[in-house]
Amino acid sequence: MFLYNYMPLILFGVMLILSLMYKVDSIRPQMNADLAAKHGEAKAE
Amino acid sequence: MAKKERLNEKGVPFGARQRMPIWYGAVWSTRGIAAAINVVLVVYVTFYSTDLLGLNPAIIGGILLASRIIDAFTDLGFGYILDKTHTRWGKARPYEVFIILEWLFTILLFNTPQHASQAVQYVWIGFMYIMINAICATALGGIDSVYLARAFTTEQNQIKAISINGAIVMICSIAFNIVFPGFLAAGGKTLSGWSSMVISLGVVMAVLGILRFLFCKEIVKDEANEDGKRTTNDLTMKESLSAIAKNKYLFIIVGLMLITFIVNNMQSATTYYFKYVYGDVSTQGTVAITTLIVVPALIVFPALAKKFGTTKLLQVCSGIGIAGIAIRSLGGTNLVTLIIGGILFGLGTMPISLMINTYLIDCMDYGEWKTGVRVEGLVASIANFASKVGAGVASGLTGLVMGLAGYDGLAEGSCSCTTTCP
Repeated sequence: MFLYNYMPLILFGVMLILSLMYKVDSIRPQMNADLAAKHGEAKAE
Repeated sequence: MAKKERLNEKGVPFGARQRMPIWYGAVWSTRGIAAAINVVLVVYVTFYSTDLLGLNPAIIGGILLASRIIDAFTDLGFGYILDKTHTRWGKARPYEVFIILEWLFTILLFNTPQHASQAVQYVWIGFMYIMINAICATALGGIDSVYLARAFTTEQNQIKAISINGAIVMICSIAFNIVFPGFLAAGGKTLSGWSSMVISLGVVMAVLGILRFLFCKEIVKDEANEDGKRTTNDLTMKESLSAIAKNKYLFIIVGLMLITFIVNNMQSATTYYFKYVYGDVSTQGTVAITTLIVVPALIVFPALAKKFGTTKLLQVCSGIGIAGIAIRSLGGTNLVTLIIGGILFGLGTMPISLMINTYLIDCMDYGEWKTGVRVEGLVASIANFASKVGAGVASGLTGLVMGLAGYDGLAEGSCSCTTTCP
């Protein structure tokens, strides 16, 4: 019961917290623009 | 109705096109097919060693375990080598030749000299197994995300390639799993039968696997060092590790990978659940149908990623996973809630399982943006390492919890507990 239900529940809880901390989409436009400028080419979206 | 403007993308590399052709994704999948079938075949090494060569299964088991330990170290070493690689064919692409070597060593593995002493046979099998897993498979796994980032310049094309690859590899693996036992029954009873069977398969797979190298070129090239800019080729191991230490999103993705691999590899707990809690282990097969959710997911995920973004997809799917386990827990032994919960549970792990390379490429971009230096090989190899640690932790965790719960498989009605039952 513990391994089948509770353990995955705890792990998915940690997964949700980590995924909420993963905010690459919010910096992506700036990041892509800066990297494109650095490499001297238009990085396709 | 307005006629859709037809794009003229002649001359544009396939991986950079707005409308990447499906066939290009299929060609990209060829190496994946060859590698996946190799994994399925090499699993038979224990059977081959014990039933055809008459070797001791415990020693064979020890050799396979030792290979896995070596594997963990070669992962990180290969990442560093990859970061130092710069050839006319690109950075990751040259290592595609390892698919030919992988099949060559597989052919040699299943052609162990039958008249040699047992000691020689153990060494032969150990060497070939290490070359297949710790060297060839490590190299092929380590280059995947780096090659993807360099062969497809847009995130949409990367996700499309991953989806096509996932679908084709899965279909071929299932087909092989169905067909191979038949071949085994027909020709797998003798050493010569195994030999001819593996040689024929190996030649076909090596040719198929190298097609990706031949047709999928790296579009993104390393910058020349003339303007004084430093590329990863100039970085020392210390500098690479320092750049990685500043990449917070890599740590998050590695954490997510670890969890995903732990969750996915705790399947042994399912058997115990159906045997002791549900009371009918055969029902496990019915609930296992939920794993087929991966088929529509492969079709739908690229569209969802395009519409909502890969980050949002990750967050929503984690929430769906929690809902799935909650439904499964609340429903107890109800078959309907077990199936619905299983489907949602599966969806929860899909973003990392299916699109890990996309997230790793994000981390490489972020690291370059943050620190000014791009570390690719080491990032990919750390993730590869994490997946293996996750699988190992899952096995250890299952045993540990069952041991703590006092489980004894030989005892009658071993699991009388109601809350701590594994």
